[in-house]
Amino acid sequence: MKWRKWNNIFHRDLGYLAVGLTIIYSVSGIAVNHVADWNPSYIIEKTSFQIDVSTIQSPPSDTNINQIVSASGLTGIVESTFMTSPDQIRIFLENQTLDVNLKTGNAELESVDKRAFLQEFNAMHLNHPKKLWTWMADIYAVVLIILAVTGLFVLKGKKGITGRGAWLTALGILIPLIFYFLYL
Amino acid sequence: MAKHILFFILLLSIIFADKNEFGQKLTLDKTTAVSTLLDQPEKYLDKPVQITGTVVDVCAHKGCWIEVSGDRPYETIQVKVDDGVIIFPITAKGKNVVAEGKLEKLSLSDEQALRMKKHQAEEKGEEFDEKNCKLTESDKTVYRLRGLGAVIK
Repeated sequence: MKWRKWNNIFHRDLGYLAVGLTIIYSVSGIAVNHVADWNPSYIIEKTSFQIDVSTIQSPPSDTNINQIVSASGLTGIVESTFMTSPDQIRIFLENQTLDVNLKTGNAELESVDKRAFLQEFNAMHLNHPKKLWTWMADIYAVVLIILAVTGLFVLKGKKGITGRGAWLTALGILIPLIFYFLYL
Repeated sequence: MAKHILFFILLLSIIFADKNEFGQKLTLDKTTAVSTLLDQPEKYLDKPVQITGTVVDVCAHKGCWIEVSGDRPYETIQVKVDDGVIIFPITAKGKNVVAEGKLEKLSLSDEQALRMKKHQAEEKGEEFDEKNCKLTESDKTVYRLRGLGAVIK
């Protein structure tokens, strides 16, 4: 049949086009699905240590802040600071946050690093770019719908939608329904 | 040919993306001091306001809130956004933010306030001693901004 030939051509070529985006969305989907357990885009590391604060006044001067930064072994430029309490300062450097207790010298450094590929994948998946990307994502969603529908009619006969295809399609629809009634 | 067009659109959308804007576009032309909001919260309740300050903390997992410094020492206000609608990056810490939203009041029971403190500690990766935690009035009455849009620079 001629319509099946065109159906399959359509399915094949749209499938090729969708490969890149499908990988981005599915890999990011797994990462974002577990957002309660980790930050899917950044690696956050915290280290605690002690520094000498005997010469630091409260609130610290700019010179004092530079002293604290170098005493902590950091070389970055200070972007901003914030006193969280009379004795506690938070110093912001690029991708680093340093909390120092000006009485005890207890310090905690939080360092943030991008997760390779995942940060970019998640940004695309969660539509951070917005603007034209919003349309791109919509087009991709429509392509997925077309792929799903044309996929039903790729094969004919016992392995097609009139045979095992019908059972598997029904199962695929049933799975989310079961979870919906189970949990919602 | 189609592949080339698709690639071109993809490239353009990345190039023209504005990474500093989150959520809705800012519409107000007047900024309200955080101290003014916290001194007279009832006056601003449920009204759209714009604040500015330094991002002093970010939700480490979901990016669903930022803590913004006020104009008075040690004072901050939380800008809470709906999960997934706006996601603030952890790298926003230390940057200047202009945020808009509506001031909301949370009146919490002891149990809810305790649960909230526990949740906040978990999000920061800190340990929480539930048994020895003493709640204050400010733990039970929380004013925060329901964030609609923000620009971080």
